[in-house]
Amino acid sequence: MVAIVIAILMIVFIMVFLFSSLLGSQAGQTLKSEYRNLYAHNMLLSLLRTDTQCGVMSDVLKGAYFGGGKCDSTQFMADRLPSYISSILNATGHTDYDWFMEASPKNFQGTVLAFGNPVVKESLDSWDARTMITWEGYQLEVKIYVRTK
Amino acid sequence: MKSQASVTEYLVLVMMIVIIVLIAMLLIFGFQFFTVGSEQLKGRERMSLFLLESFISSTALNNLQYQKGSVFDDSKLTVASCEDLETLLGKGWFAEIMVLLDESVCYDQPAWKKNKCLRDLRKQASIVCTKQNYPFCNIWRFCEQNKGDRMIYRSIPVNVYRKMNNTLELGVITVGVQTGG
Repeated sequence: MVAIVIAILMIVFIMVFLFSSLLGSQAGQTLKSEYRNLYAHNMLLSLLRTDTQCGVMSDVLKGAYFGGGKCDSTQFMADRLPSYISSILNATGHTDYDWFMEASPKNFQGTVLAFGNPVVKESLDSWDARTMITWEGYQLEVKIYVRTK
Repeated sequence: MKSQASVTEYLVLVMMIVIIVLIAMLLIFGFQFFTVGSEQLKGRERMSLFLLESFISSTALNNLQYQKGSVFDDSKLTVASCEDLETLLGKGWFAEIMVLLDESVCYDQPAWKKNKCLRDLRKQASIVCTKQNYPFCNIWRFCEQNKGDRMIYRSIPVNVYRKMNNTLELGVITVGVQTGG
């Protein structure tokens, strides 16, 4: 009887101890996740809104996908997008981040435009942000994936 | 004899329960003592996230044409002061918004012009804005802290609206929160 009571009390206190340490570690993970999501979301949003020599980046992406634009949009995206992202990663102190961006059709059949390291998309520890670009009724879903190298 | 034995058993049980409760309390409070430091750090990290979110959604600093936020208006940044922002956000933090100038505009130039172009661009990139040099500047700083202060830094990409050119440039906001101690 005594042994049972003691055993139950010990189990209860150990569970309380473990639970409080688990809560503490979860809070840290939540903050990290919140920051990473904010980072990816802002990276995508800011990039697409930026004015470039070829026009607004979202228009350049539309040009690369659907054709048209002020200049060779496909070449511009291939050449300049990595350098824009690289300057963001350097300026934010995240040279340890790797990235992948893709534009895929949402409401029509079409190919997928991709930039960066495709392995990042398949990685289990990557996080992502997405937005939609519309052109003449066609919706293009643009996603960016980020992970630590 | 039997009742004496059961009283003894009862007393032993109570004593053991008291000892276990005391050990558990020591464990829990000891654990709490050691986690105070990490809790404080988490509080600072939460504060840094809060600052980032406050800045990118602040109507006092952002261009209101862009409802999703994260578009700072360079004229609003230039007139804002640390004191104004401290009344909203409290003290013990630092913020910097920097425009990322596109160096690729220099790469298209002939070799003999390229280096000068890069030098001029980098010089311009490091100019901190004041009311006197606006808009020929690229960095806005608020509530600079002492160099010796220990800080947690967080940075995210943003845009900066350049009123003079009516263009949206790529930028970065960095906030720092004092960790204290």
